[in-house]
Amino acid sequence: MNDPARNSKERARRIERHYFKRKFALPRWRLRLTIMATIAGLSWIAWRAVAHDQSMFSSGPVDRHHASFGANCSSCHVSGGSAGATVTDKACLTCHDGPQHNDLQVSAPGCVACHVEHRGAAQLLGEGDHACTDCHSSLRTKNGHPSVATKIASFTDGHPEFKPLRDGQQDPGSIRFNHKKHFRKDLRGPSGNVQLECSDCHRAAGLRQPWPYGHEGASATVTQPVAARVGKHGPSTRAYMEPVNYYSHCSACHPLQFDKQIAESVPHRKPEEVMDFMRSRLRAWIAAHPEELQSAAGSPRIMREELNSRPRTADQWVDRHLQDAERLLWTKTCVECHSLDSIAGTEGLPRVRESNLKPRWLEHGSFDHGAHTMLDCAGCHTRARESEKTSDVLLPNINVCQSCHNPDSSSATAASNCFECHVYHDWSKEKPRHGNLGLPVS
Amino acid sequence: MNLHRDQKERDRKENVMCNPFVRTSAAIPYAVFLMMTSVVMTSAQTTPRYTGPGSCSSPSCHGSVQIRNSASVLQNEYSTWAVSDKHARSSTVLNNDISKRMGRILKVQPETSDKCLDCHKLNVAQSEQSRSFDMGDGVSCESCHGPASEWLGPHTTREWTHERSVKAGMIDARDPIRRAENCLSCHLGTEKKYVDHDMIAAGHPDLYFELDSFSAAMPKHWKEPEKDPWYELRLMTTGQAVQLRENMRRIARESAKAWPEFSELDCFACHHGLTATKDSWRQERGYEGRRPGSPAWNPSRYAVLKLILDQVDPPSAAKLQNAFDKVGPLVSDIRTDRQRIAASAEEAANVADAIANRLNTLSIDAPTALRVMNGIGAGADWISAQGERAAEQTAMVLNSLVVKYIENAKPDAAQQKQMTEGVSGLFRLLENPATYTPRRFADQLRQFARAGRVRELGNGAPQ
Repeated sequence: MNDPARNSKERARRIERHYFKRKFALPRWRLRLTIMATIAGLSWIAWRAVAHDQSMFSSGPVDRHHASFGANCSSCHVSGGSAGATVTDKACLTCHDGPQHNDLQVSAPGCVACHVEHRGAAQLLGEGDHACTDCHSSLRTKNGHPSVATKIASFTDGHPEFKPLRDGQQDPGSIRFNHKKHFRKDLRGPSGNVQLECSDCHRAAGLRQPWPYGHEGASATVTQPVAARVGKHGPSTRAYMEPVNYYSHCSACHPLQFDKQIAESVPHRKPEEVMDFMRSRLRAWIAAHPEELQSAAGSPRIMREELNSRPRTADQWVDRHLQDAERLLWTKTCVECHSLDSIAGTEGLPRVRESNLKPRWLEHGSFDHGAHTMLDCAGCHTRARESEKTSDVLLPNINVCQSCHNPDSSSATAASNCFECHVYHDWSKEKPRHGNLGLPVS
Repeated sequence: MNLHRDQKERDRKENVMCNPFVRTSAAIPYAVFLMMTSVVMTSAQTTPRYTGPGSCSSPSCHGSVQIRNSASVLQNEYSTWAVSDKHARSSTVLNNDISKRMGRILKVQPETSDKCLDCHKLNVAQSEQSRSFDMGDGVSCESCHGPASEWLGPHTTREWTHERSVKAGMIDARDPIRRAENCLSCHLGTEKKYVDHDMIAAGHPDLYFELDSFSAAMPKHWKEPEKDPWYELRLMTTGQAVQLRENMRRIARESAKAWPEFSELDCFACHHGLTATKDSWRQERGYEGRRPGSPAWNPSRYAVLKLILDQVDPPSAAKLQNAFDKVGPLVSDIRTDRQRIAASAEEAANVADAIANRLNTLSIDAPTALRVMNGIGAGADWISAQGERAAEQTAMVLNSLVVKYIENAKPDAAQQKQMTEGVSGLFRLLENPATYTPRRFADQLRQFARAGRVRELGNGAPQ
């Protein structure tokens, strides 16, 4: 029964009596370390200050575009050159122009109100909606008569319908075109029936594949793409569709032949050039086929009119065929698509009306077809397949965009920020910069 | 009278039913009807609508300029029409000075009035237009081929046939009767489209027609599907009968309304130069079958057909003469009872209709063609006395015969030349109606008939 564990004396002996009075290593060194660290820090600061290095004040890394300034804070923090000084517009304008947004704006925020550095690329681009909505949600202008909607809080709140779709606007194009007819199932192609697709005629300007219904010899006449990248602020080369042109998109099915005997088509050019072409080809043909002038002379069929008017010389033959060709072209072939301002007759050649094709419909905001290639064309351009008239505006309505770009939607949607389509600075007013920085001295 | 009519009716039936072709062709509409009903029962009923020439003009369809070989058709039909065919410009004449003057006289707007547009353009009722209808210029594709809405799409597919298009509303222009009817709807007139004496007085030309010559004069936009080398002569003979039938129907219609309608009479009976009495061929000829002083009817659509039938189908010739011995004097008397004119013209139209159907089954061969030419030569005096319009028909009919005869029977060069020059001579005598005289025309006809072996029979009036 004499168990030591049950003995109270033995139990008391397990606890060290001076425990709380004993000093351990860390508390023993605390004071010394504090003093040492402070001295070390202060001397490091003193040393960096002596070495003119301010990078320890940085609130985050600068964007890679500004990386060349390295740790030289005063490149931007110009006021007084001391650390902590705010960045003024002057600092940015040394390298960048920031053209005014609009002549009628009542206030102009400084650069840093939108472009925040040391917070990553997105913040530097200044693409937050507040940059726009601060003013546009209750817009005031210098003249008191804003020409745009005044209560735009977001893409779905107060943004008006696209301008070309307001007030019954019409396509100003003068080329007669019936989309519906071209989408017909039994459409005759150059060899047999074809089913046309949107992309057979509409494709981003940047792509350089051959067109399915184009003409081999067309490359020489390909038009300038509308939306070639303009500086770094313009749209990409795949943003907009290449404007429709005869050689790339129409010529395979709509050749411009002018005479039964001659397979060649006339060039798709001004009537004067067309006439010269036809005359030269007809002359060459009759010179090579003089027997044509005698044929059918001995036919027993009496055609009173024709008997007296059959061409007897090559010149007469050319004139006759030229007249026929003119009748065919000016009254049928050309007017199939074009409007001619005066039909040929006694008063010379017709004038072809300006085609007025609109290369880009959203003139204010930009749109990038290249970013939407995963979508079916007709899914957005809902009216295109049924359109029968050139005057139809086939731009999708804003609600088509909003079905994906919707800030109100509870589910995840495509971005709907202002800067998806709009830019703040009016880059048409950009001025050339003349910086004053020198190359780093090595 | 009743007995007589019954007899005629029996004759007609016998005639028709003896002919196996006619019997078959009578069955065809019934078969078509049955098929149409089944189509209608299985699908929604659709009335054919006009789509306008723009629906045909794609260069890959019928609007090529050159002939293409990728289809059974030439594919440059539209361009041929647009460039060479006067039908394409039939609407542009509506704004020339003559048309404007006509408009002033008749108090109509030529370029917008249905009275003019019905023949000068593809002027169809709103209810017959498809949604994309565009009237286009002139007399265009569907004016002759019928409303396209029901066959426009399917007719480009491989297994489609002409017959199916016809079922779906296309006009069968290969059938001489159907073709003639369609041409004549403007070139002679219907109840709705009609060139009357008022219009002629205002400046519209008088209408005349001959199916084969006019088909040949039309810039050809088709391939001849017929294997029969004498097809064109069937066009000519059948066309003659159809235009006589339509002429008679027109007289029946007009006389039921008012009479005389001067456009049904011989223009030159009144419109001719005044000559010294001793030189007047009209007085010399006399006024057989009518009162002196009453303008004669225009027998041009009857006279040549009669001479053709004498050779091709004498029983029909007899029936025709029988009918016209009644009509002629009635129409040529402006004081006749209108009802009698209408009744006899109606009857004559039925006779002509039966003859048209019969002629449509008769192919003409070389000996027959020669006999017809000779027959007309033999009837030179009679036909020349029928007036300038009849002489004109004679020249056109002979031209058709000569063309086909030369082409198929291949006579020697000398005879070809004689024939061709003989016909040319006839046309020359017709250039100015004021100088027309039966004697000179008959002489020229006889000269034509002397060409080579054409002369086989003697002179003499037809029976």
